[in-house]
Amino acid sequence: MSANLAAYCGKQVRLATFDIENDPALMAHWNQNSEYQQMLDWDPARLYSPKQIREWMEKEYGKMFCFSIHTLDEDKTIGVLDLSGINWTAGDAWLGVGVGEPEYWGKGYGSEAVNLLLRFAFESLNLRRVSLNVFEYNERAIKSYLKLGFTIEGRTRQFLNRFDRRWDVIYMGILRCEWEIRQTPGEFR
Amino acid sequence: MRNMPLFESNTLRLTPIDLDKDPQVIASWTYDLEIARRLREEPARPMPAFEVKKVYEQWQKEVEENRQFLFAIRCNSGDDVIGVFRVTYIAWVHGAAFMDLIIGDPQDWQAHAHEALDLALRYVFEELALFRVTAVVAEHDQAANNLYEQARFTLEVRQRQALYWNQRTWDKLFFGMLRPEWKMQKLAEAAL
Repeated sequence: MSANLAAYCGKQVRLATFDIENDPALMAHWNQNSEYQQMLDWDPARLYSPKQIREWMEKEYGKMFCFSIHTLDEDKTIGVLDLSGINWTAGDAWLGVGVGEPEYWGKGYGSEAVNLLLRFAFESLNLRRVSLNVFEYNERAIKSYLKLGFTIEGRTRQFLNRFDRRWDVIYMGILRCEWEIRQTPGEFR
Repeated sequence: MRNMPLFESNTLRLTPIDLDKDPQVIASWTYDLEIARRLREEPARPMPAFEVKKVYEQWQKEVEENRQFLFAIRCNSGDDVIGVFRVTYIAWVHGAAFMDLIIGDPQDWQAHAHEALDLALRYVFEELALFRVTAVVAEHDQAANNLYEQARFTLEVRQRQALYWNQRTWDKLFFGMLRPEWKMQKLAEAAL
C-alpha cells in the first residue's frame, strides 16, 4: 500500500471517501435507530429518505471533510465522520462522528477512525486544534475521547432537555501538540 | 400581566433593522475585526455596506422562519443604529439558544452595554421563554468579558487557542445564563 493510502488506514478501520451512491441509504437505515440520533444531535430525531440525504450531501460536501468508516476485514461501511466549521485563521475545526452499526459500538472502531481523522486534521490540514461536543449521557463517547487525548474544556449547563430531565453539553478539544505526543511511531499507521 | 415593555428602556430601544440605512453604519464598524468575525465566516475582514446588507437579508429570512431573532439597537434620543442584538442557533425543544450583542462604538458600549444586555435577557427569558442562553466571547474582548461577568453569567467553556487575533491565539469563551438564575437576580433587584 502506498504511504498516501496508509495514512487513512488503521488496524481495524480505514477512512474512505463518501460513496454518494450507497452511503445515503446506509445513513437512512442508521437513523431508524433513534438512540443513534440522540447521541449525535440535539435537534429532534427525524427521518430522511436516502434521496434527501444524498441531496444534502451533494450540497454540503464541499464545505467539510467527510469520510466513511470501513472495516478492514470485511470492507463494511459502519459509520461516517467529518470535520466542519473550520476556522482557518485559528486552525480550529469541529469533529463529528457516528458509528451507525450498533454491533461495532464500544469496540474501538470509532476511536481508531477519530484518531485517523485527527492525523488528517493535523498532518494534512495543518490545524492547531480540533473541537467537539458530546452529550453528558453519552458516557461511552466521553471515555473514548478522553482516551484519545481530548481535554474537557467546559460544559454548557443543562442545555439538553431529554429523557425527562436536563443534561449538560460537554465541550472537548485537543491541540496538535497534545495529539502528537501520544503517537508512537508506527501507531495507527 | 407584563409590567415592563420589551422593546424600550431608559435610554435605548430595540427596533427592526433598516436595510436601506443601517448596513452603511454597521459596515463602518467592521474595521474592528472582532465585530467582522461575527458577521461572516472566518477569516474576518472589513466588509463593505453591500456585503453587510446581504448578510442581514439572509438573517432576515431566518427570522421569518423563527430560526433567529434580530434587532437594531438605537438610542431613544436618535435614529442611528448603535448596535445589534441577535438570538441564534435556537434549539426550541431544549429551550436553549446563543446570543450575540454588538455595539459598534466603544463609547456607546461604555454607556449602553449593560442596558442593552438587560433588554436582551428580558427578551430571551420573558418573551422567548428560553431556559438558557449562551454568549460566545473572545478572550481578548475585555469589554465583553467584563459585561457578562458583571451580569453574573457563568463562564462555562474555555476552548483553548480557538481564535487568532492580533498576532496570537486566544481562547474562545462560552458564558451561560439560566432562566432560574436570571429570575433570582430580578427578584433580588426588585427587593432592593
